[in-house]
Amino acid sequence: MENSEVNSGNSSVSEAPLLGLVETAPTRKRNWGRIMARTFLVLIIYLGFVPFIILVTPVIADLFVPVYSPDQQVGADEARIRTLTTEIRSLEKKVDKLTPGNVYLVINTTENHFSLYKNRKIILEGICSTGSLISLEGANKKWVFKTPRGDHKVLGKLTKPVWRKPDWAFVEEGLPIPSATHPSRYEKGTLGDYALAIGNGYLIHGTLYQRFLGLPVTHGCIRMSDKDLKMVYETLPVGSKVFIY
Amino acid sequence: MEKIKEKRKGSLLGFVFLKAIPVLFVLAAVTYTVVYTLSVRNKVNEWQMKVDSGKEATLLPAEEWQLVRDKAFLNARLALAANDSLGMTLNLRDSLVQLETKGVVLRQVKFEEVEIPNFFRSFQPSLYIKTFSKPLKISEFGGTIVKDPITVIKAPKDTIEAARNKTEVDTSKVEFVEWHMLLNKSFVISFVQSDRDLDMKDKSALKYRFDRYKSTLTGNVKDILRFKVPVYYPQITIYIPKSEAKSFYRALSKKGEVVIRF
Repeated sequence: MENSEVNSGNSSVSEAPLLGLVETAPTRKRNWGRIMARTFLVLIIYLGFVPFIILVTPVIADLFVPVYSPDQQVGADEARIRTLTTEIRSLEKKVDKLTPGNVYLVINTTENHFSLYKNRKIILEGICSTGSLISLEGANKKWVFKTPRGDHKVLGKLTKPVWRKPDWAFVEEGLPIPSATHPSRYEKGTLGDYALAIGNGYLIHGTLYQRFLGLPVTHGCIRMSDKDLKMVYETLPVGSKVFIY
Repeated sequence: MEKIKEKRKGSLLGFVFLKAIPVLFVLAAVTYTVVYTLSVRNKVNEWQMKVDSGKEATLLPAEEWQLVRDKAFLNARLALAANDSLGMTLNLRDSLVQLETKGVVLRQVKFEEVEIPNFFRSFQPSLYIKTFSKPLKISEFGGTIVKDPITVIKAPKDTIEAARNKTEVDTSKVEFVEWHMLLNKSFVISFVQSDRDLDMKDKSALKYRFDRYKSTLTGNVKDILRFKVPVYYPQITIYIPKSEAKSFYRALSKKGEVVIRF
């Protein structure tokens, strides 16, 4: 009896799959910690791939570059040092001579800012207005309102300047272009009390529109406030340098 | 049967996305880093070979090395002064960036943050003198802002249209200023505004950075696939205030030159 019971017990175990008990196979205990760590690692690889090659790779590559360092052991050769020092002094003098020692004006067209220098020191700085960077097209012509960059010279100085309106001033207003000597071309007071000519029709002058100072609104000329213009006019003699950038 | 098939499909996807692709990514990153490192070293050797043809490095005493660099800088500034265009002087020893024309300093800015790759520190005296004793030519510009922001306007037909078209200058525009220039087709100098960090609102800046990374990456990957060592462009990044970064970018001409002192 005992044997048969044992046998029947054995047979029931071995036959269990045949009885459709497959689905109730003992479940494996999941290691959630490991799964989370693996998922995290995979996520890092996916998300970090591009940043790694863009940002980390150059840093790693840079670590392998052999850096040149001067010899700390060897003492300097006195004669060579003396020669080099003399050469450097001579070069420094040459570079130094390039900067005007007297007065000059520097204009920043991006920031609409100016600095007036005397003996290499700023004696006045402030806001101004420069070219609007507008390209006006009409009357079969094209004008670009841009302040010319580079180095210029004060070619002439005027008090109580009268503005002789160019063609664009009429085209811009939607008016017909008058003859070259027509009275409508001449306007008093628009340019302020003083004007300094820097060539090709460009002037440093005053303005009626003080609220626009600091903004790029001109047709290429440089506008300043009355007070600044007076100082610039009085400080810069004809022939002084005007640097525009 | 259906469930077994689904299970197999699931495990195959798991294998591809959780094992195969990540392993490939890691391999690609390692390969790219190795090849990139080789590219940097190649460039260093290639440059040094230009002057030394494989000779051993000349070791100068520290004091002399300093003077050699000072002399190279002054020689380059004199050469820059002979050029009609506006140029830039980059003094990395004193952390100064200057805009110059004919030897006159128009604007000088002291910067506090700069990133210089070791590539530039690998230059031996002979190579340093050859490279930095004269100005470097600008061969390419690029930036987050327009270099010459010209607006085209058609002339109004009459005074009514002229009055209607009158526009005021827009001062409300918020922009992140970042730009770069390629010098002598070999080095890149990049200027980034230091006043604030780039954020998600700065779409043009994000696009600019994305385009630069994309062109570097595609170029490098193409070279690697052709079994060529990628071309390396060492880059110096300088952080200066926005207004200065903008002024310098707009002021420098396309034919401009740059002088560097390390």
